[in-house]
Amino acid sequence: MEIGVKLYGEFKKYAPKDDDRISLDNGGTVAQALRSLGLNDRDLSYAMVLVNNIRVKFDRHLQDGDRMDIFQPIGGGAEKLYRYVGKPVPRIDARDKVTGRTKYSTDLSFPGMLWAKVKRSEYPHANILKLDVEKARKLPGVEAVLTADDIPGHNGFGIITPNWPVLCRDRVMYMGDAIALVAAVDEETAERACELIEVEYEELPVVTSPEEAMREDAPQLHEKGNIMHTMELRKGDVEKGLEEADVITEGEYSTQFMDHAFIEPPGGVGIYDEEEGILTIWCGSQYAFRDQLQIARAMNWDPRKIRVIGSPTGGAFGGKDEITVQIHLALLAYHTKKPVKLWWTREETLIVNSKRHPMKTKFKIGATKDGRFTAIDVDVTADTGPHDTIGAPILNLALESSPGPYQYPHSHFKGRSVYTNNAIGGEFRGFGAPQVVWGVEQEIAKLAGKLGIDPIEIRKRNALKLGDISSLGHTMQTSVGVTETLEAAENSDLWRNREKIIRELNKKHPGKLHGVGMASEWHAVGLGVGIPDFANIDLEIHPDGKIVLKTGAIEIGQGNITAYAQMLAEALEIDMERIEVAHGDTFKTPDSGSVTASRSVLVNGNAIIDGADKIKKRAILEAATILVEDPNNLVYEEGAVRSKSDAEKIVSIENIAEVCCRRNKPLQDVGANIMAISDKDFGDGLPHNYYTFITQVALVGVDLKTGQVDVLRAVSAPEMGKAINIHGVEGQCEGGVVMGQGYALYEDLKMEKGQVLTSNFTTYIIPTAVDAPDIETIIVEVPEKTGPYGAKGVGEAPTVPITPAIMNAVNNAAGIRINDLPITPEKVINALKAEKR
Amino acid sequence: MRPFDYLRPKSAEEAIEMKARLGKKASFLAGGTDLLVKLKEDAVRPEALIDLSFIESLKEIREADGTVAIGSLASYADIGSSPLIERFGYILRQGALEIGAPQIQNAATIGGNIANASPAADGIPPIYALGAHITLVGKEGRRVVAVEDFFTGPGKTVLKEDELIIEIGFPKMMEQDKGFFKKIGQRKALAISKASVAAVLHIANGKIEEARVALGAVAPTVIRCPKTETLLKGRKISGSLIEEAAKSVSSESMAIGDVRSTPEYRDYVIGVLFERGMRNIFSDILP
Ligand SMILES: Cc1cc2nc3c(=O)[nH]c(=O)nc-3n(C[C@H](O)[C@H](O)[C@H](O)COP(=O)(O)OP(=O)(O)OC[C@H]3O[C@@H](n4cnc5c(N)ncnc54)[C@H](O)[C@@H]3O)c2cc1C
Repeated sequence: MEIGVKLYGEFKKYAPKDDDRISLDNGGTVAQALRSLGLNDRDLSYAMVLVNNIRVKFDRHLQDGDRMDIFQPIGGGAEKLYRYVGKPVPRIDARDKVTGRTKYSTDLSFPGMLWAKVKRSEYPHANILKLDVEKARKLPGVEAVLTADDIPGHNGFGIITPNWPVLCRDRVMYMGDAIALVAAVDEETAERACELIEVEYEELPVVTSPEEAMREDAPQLHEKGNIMHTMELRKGDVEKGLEEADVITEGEYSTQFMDHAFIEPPGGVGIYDEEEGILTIWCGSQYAFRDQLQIARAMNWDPRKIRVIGSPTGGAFGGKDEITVQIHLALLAYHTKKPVKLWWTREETLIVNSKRHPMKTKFKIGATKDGRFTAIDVDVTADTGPHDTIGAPILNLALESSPGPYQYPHSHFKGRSVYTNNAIGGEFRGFGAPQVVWGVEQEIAKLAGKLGIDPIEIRKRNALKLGDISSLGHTMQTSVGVTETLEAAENSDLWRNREKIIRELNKKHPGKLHGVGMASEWHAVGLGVGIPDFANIDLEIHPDGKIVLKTGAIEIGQGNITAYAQMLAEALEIDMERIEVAHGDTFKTPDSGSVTASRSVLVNGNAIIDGADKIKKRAILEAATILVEDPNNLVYEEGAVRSKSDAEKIVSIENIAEVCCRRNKPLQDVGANIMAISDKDFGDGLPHNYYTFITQVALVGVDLKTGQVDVLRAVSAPEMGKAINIHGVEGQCEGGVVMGQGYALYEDLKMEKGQVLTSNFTTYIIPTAVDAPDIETIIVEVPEKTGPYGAKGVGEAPTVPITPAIMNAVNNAAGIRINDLPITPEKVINALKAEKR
Repeated sequence: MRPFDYLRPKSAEEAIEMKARLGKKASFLAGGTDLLVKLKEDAVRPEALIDLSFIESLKEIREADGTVAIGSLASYADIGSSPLIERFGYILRQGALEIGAPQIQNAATIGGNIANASPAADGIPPIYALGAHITLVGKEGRRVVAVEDFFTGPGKTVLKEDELIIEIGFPKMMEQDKGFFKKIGQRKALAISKASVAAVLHIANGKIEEARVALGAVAPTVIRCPKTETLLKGRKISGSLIEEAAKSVSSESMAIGDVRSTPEYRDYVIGVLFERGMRNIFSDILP
């Protein structure tokens, strides 16, 4: 019998030559028809078949003259079935981590290893009049005491402007500034030596806030003045937009310093190999290649002689993108010619390491009666502390994030980042967004309330769509799932049944009021226009069947290497178990950029696919010589190259690799990707081209008498293009919720006159397991065609809108609003009292 | 941390003898949950630590004619799971289960909690409310001090240099006695109290015959509330009495501000804790 066939998508390759029909034995089934076309088991596992326009199962018997449409379900319809991508895959590093087998850099120990300590400032702002290290040098067991005089190169580091002194020479500008380094036979001796270092200071006035810093008579912290950076963006005419509004809402919000509270405080080991002239630094890091350059600049060395190994890192959250111990270790290892270990204490970490910037933000938003936004005016002031690090781009991203994922015809954004003698403002998961989203999502909630529109509905009415011009003026070129995440949140059990849930809880717990709140966000993925944003990977196929992927990306706990292995297994159509990932080593892996900005799956993923494509092409060419076949008649499939016409002719990639090795041309290649950029360039790295969209919902209980707020349930609905590892996305969302809850309720690096008052975990309070809510993650996918398997990124967004969602829930419960984070019981009680009056 | 000698006495006598010999240079070490933190922060610099944790006799919890005696080395996990405490001093059990988290309760001892003398210690308000006595033994012999006379300031006690806390004794709570311990911290576990309150009320004929109310974290030491106790004495339980007493508790609180809270909030919220504790224990007779 004759059957008409039409194949779609990747299945087109099976189409019969010059014909749209096949002949089949009478009574044959769909499955037999598919086989005769050449579809394999894997294809059959996800193919979709219509017979005469009706979807059928494969055991269906065909009749003469039937017409078959054979689909590979992609895009808008059902989804392509992957073997690894989009599945909940256990982390490839999990077993070694939970059994304690993984060695972090601070676990390393070498024979004859010295311990290092850093002598730090005793004042937040002072001139150094005299520095005497003689007594310390003479202490038995001390092998080196180094000062600014011992720095061969540039005495400074910083991702953007290297003005953070490696060791201060004549002035200290905050409590974390380093003055001298000690290496000694053990930790105690190093501590004693630090005590013996004599520093004579002349105290200088302390600048404790941006407001103070901007006064005319303020002490100037830097030559260029106290304003580190300003940024302004404008679209349309904001005054006109506000005039067109029926209602205007206005508010001023402030946020606190927040610590990353990663498990492993910054630390590592440095070794100088005199014979080879190589300096090796193992350290917690987010970008070994930048560390290498920053070390080289300070050491005045050839970076090629500096090996930095950053993987694995025990948590970073942005707090290890900048230099911590690297240069100090390099100096000491070089001077002592012995292995040296430096590991900050928790107290040191809280005082020294960069923090999430406190910001004060003013919002003015106008809307029409039917809830359409007409204009937004935003003004941000950030406290960046004494040194630059990456403060400028953080302010910029705060501005970009501040309107939220909505349409505004008119907008105006202005911000400044200001020097003080407080803690250092630096990189932190969210990169400026949490500070402003805290405000804008409350303002929108207020607007919705004023207009009597449901909070999700008002957001949907203004939601950005693919192809829209954003509030900043650039085109939304990549997948936009604002509406989808809002709908997912709207359909969640918590949101749909909120009234009932609240009623029952209020009944069960008299004295408490419960409430549900939500908030949304767009979160930029990648580094932005004008900033080099690339990844390189190396791929090697070994004759023993092992496949090695090398990436400079560091495993900081986020699960990226598992996602890479999934994508590679998918691309090469092989078992994931065969893949070994080498990562984060400047001598052994290529530069893949920093693991930051939620970028590493997107940019490394594309590089992996690029590399896999090259390997497949090369495999076909090599197989042609092995199988003695025209390469055009060969296809790559499931880890092997086979002839299209002769089933006997097949060779696996490991066998191809073996032949390649024998021919002295190993089967290996590189993959590369450069992140696509926006259609506009606003300067300073703005705007971005990819965004994660997310809506989060919180259920809280407010104790009306004690003012305590409990977060009971949380829902995250992130849209990250495509979830590569379901477990990975869930992990990011769960961790993100708890981190955002900490920001909302507990965490506060309190400063007084430049001193940190909460310098350990007894006073710097992070949520514990019993404080954490029940968390639900609803994965929303709007595949992005330029992303690997449709993926964008998801690392940061899940910690952002949860904070205002908690406040909106408190407002829903008790009618109060608190504008300055955190929402402490003390503030809640005061607000409740004010509300009563 | 600085180096120190580590000594391990087998008996209380040996421990006291060691301490008498070494004087200020040595510190007793029990669970170490306070001491190790201070050693790490370099806040104390002992040259020797006398580890008490192998002296089994100091870990006993026993009863003797109308009283319960807790060995100073009993951990809060021991106290939290002791049937004797549950029956005759359950307010201390409530306190024990709110100390830090299970890991801390396994290590932390009541003797260490008392000797450390933090006004925010959660084991101390319950023993004030229970009317406890503390037995101390030094080179010069044994003495028994009423809990109120033991603490002289934050971190300060009448303990002499060679003295060891042996045990804490208190009269059993009887059936007519009711009591509670309540605390509020910055989060649900591993939280130092911003304010805490313990109370024991002796009830006869539906009236409060005697009341002992103790407050934590709102004064230089744990304090009793004499005015509130007088106010409660001889009164019948009612909602309005509880409210009045709660106000009185707040007025007797003398809190200061620090990184954990404000004085206003502490003075206020301690009244709320008291009111909640009272409403809990009298829920059967209150509307
Ligand atoms: C993470 C954490 C959480 C905590 N949470 C709480 C909490 O919620 N509530 C609370 O009250 N406390 C808390 N603490 C404090 C501490 O756990 C308690 O005070 C504990 O009871 C101290 O007992 P210890 O056995 O560990 O004392 P140690 O640290 O061993 O000793 C403390 C002091 O007492 C002296 N000492 C010990 N035993 C004796 C003795 N028998 N005679 C004379 N002197 C003695 C020691 O020399 C030392 O000076 C917490 C501590 C930590 C680290």
